Amino acid sequence: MYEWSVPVMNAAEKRGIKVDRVDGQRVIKKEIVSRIEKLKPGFIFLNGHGDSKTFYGYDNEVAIGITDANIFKNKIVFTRVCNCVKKLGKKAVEKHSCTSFIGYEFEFVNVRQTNVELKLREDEISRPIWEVSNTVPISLIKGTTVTEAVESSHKKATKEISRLLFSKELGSISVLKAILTNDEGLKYHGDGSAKFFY
Amino acid sequence: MAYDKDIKELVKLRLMSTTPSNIKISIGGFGEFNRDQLIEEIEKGTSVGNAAIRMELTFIRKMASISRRISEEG
Repeated sequence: MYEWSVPVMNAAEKRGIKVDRVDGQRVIKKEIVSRIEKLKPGFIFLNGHGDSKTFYGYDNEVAIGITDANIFKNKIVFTRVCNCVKKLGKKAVEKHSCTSFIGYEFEFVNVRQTNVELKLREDEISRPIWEVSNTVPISLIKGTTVTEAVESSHKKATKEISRLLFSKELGSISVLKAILTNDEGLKYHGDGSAKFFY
Repeated sequence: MAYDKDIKELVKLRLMSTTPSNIKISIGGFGEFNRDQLIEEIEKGTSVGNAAIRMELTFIRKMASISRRISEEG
């Protein structure tokens, strides 16, 4: 999953936005909280595993639990984390003044081919799944509102679905279903007119 | 959520006909599954099986609106 967050970080850096990556063994609660307190980012992108109340970090330890929702105060958050928007996102917005919290209501679905050994970003069949998802943070980086970013992702999903519906590519219908399921689960809480300023 | 037998059979048949054997589908933190493993999960009534059923039902349910969106957006 991390591999597909690289294009988002590249898009940010291209616009002169300072990106602070927290990856691998550093994805632990102490590190995340201290960085957010110190650097005060306007936008946070979480990418990994979770459930409706929790984002899990290194070694499947709780990195951000529902009792930590206050760290999202005055921030726009995008989570590519299963179910997180449901409770963690809702609480962050309703109880802790998080500006907007965008994420997926269901399990995030991906498809990959197994007949050849490929690195994640080299697998062309999964590319549209990640690109549809990445449309949200990349749109925000480009200056759209939260609503526009989510709508851009829906439009990109429609475009890919229409292509895949008539495609003869390996697993095209499975990829289509993954995009459709992810797209249906893409939701946000909070201010849809908010923009990320840097 | 428990799906009834007819729904499970429908989804299993659709998985057999539309999912190649040389792809894997990852469903959140549950892990990766090939077509046969997904069918097995559906038969067992697990969370993974339910997620696979929900995917398939979403596809069936949304086909009409997908077609409309595609024709509207050219």
